[in-house]
Amino acid sequence: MADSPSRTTDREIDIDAALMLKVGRGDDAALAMLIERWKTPLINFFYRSLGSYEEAEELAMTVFVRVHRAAPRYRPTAKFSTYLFQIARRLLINAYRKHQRKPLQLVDPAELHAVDSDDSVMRSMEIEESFHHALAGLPENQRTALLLYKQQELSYAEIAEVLGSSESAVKTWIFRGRQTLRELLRDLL
Amino acid sequence: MNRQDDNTPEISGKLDALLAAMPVQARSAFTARVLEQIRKDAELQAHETCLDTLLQAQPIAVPEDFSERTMRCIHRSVRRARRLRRVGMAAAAAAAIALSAALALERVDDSAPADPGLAPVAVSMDHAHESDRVAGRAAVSDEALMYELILLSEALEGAEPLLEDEAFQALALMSR
Repeated sequence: MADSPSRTTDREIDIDAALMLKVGRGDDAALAMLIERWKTPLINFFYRSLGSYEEAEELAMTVFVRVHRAAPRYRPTAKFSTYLFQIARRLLINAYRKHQRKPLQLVDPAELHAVDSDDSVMRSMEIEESFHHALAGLPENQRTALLLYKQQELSYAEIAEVLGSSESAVKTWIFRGRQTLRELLRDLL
Repeated sequence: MNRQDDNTPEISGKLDALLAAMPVQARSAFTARVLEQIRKDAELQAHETCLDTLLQAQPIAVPEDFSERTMRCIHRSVRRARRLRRVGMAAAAAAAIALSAALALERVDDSAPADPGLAPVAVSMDHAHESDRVAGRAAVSDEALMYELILLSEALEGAEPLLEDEAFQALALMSR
C-alpha cells in the first residue's frame, strides 16, 4: 500500500488537493491516482463499519463517483481526507438505514484470502469476528469516530468536522467506544 | 480479569491494533471498475443536463400556448423518459424528452383523442428536423416516430444515436 496516505502529512494534503483540482479540469490520470491512493482506506472504513466486503467496495465506488461529480466545484478549504470522509459518512448512514430493514451479514476477511487453518489462524479469525460484532454493536457516532481516529488517523478537529459535532463530543465518543470494546473483548485480547 | 487489567497498555495496544488495521484489499480490477462507473455517470449527467435544459426552456418559450393537455403530455413524457433512464436507455430518454418538447411546442392536435399515447397525437415534425417522412400536420405513425427519435438522438450533443431496435423499444416503453 505504498501509495496510500496512511498518515496524512501537509505534503500529502497538497498532493490530494492538487490531484483533485486536476480531476476538476478533466484529468483522468489524476483521477486514477486519487482512486489508487484512497481505495484501500475507504474500503476498509466501510468494511469495518458494515462487515460486508461487497458492500464496502460498492460504497467506496460511489464515493469516487460523487468525488468526480463534485470535482469541478472543489475548493481545497479543508484537508482532502475530511472532505472524502464527509461523503463516505453520508453514504454510510444511508447504508445503515437500509440495514435497518435487512440484518448485517458479517463476512470474515479470512474468506477473502487463502489461509491455513492452524490454531493461530483460527484464533485470529475468532478475534476478528468478535471484534466485528463488538464494533457493529457500538452507536454509529462512536464507531465512526473510533475508525476515523484510529484507522484513518484523522485528528479530533477533523473528525468533528466530518461528524458535524464538537471536538469534546468526539473525544467522549472515542473514549466511550473504546471502553465498550474493551469490556466486550477483554476475554479475547 | 478485572477492570484494572482491562486498561493495561497491552490490551489497549491490541485493541488499537485491531481498530487501526486494514484487513481487506481492493481487488485488482477495482480502479478500472470505478473509472468505468465514473464514465457512465458522466455520460448520464450530460444527458440530464441536456434534458433539464430542454424541459426548462419550453415553458419559457411558449407559456401561454401551453394547454392543460399539452402540459399533461409533457409530464407524461417526463415520466416515460425517467422510466427509460431506469432501464439504462439514456440516449432514448433524451430523445423521448426532446420529442415530447417538440410535440408540446406547437403540434398537439386538438382533434386527437383525449388520452393519447404519443402515437395517436397529430404532430408536425418539420420544426424538429428535416425529415421528409413527416410534413405539416400529418398524423404520425409509429415508424415515423421511431425515425424521429433516431434523428433527435443524433442531434443531441453527447448522446449516442439510437439504433432502430432501441428506438422501437423506446417507443414501446413510451406508449405504456
